[in-house]
Amino acid sequence: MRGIAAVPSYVILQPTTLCNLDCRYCYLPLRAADQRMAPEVAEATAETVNDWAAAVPRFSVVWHGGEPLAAGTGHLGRLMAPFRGVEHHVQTNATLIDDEWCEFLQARQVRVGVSLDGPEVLSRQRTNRAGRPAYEQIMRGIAALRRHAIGFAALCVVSEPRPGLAADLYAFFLGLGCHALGINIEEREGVNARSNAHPPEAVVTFWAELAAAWRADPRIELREIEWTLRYLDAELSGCADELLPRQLDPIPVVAQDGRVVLLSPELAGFSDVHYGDFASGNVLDRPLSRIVADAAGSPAGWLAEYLHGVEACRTTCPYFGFCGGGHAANRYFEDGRFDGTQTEHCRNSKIRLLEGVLAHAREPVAGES
Amino acid sequence: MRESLWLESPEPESNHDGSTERTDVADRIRGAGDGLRALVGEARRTWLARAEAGRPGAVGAPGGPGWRPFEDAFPTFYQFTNKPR
Repeated sequence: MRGIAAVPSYVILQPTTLCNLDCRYCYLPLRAADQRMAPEVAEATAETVNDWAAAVPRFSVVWHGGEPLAAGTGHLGRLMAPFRGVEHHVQTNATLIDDEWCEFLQARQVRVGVSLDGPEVLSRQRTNRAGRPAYEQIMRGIAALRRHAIGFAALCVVSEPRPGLAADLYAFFLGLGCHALGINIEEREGVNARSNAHPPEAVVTFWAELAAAWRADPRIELREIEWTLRYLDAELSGCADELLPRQLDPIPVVAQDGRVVLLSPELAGFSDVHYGDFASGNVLDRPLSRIVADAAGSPAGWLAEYLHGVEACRTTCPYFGFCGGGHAANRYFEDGRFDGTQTEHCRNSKIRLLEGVLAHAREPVAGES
Repeated sequence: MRESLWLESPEPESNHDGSTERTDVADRIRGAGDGLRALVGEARRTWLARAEAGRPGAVGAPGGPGWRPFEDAFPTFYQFTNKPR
């Protein structure tokens, strides 16, 4: 069975378009504007989500931005209130986290993901609206999390993957105390038009060295390396075909105004002469369950084109078993369409990742001749 | 050393039109030497140790009961799991 599932495993909500930072690689078009989600949008979303959550052991609601905490504790609390039986997540730049926010997060058992690019020298592109690095503010927020014993994952953007970087980067996050780490090679996406083409050998070596660093001290769940190892384990065990879901998770993103974009949160807020606003509907007009089921049952427009693109990947790319097909937003923002195949993002974050881990595995183990 | 590692496993120059001769990645993995099997074995032991450690916390907390070691760490994990077989 292929295509898009009619029921997701989680939803993403945008409580505000605003971000208090202005990172140089950010893809968000409206991050300077404080367009907040109305409580009616959250209530309409919850009508469907609560039913979905009741049917499964676990269901996640992810609050993503902009900077979700820029909505303030009062407003974010009102938006969360209608949801029942879900796990809340926030992905935050941590700059606004203080004792009050920690109490808010603890009271609602919110899972926290922090965005940070490594030690100060590597975090200079995470800047405030005055163009100054936000590193100290971020670290103050993380200190508050630690003071309150709130566990957190970290997401790190790497703009220039290169040899000699990974060990220091991994050591920093070990010291930071996060329980998990994801590495995002900078993407050409949204309003970020910077090139993401890199010398292949530099990227492969970056991943190989990251694999070596993790192997030496695997206390952190290191998303890219461990997922690759999980795939390699499954391939060696002859069960790689069981690793991936039968159908794409629709991952509905509910924008602050109620519009629903499937599959790629990065497309929310954009429009195109050919594809329109990428939205499949609005929760203020139709139930979310209906929007998702209709779009999944009869994919049209860019969704249909994207599914053709996935099948093109399946038939042409030797890495499909690992990758599963290039992501919709990467295809669109790199190629201007959804039915292309290999993107720079594929090369940086999938192909060279797999090759990097394999390259590390071929290295002689210390102490062996 | 890194250069030689890279040259052993070049990515295809292009597969946009399907005309490039494809390397069978799965075959290459299955044919990899003991180094890969040792690495995967270490990873398995790490995952087992984490599960057994069962860090304290509520259901679904990191390392605790119900914790899904890959899917739960990141709200944006779909970048790796959301792909059709």
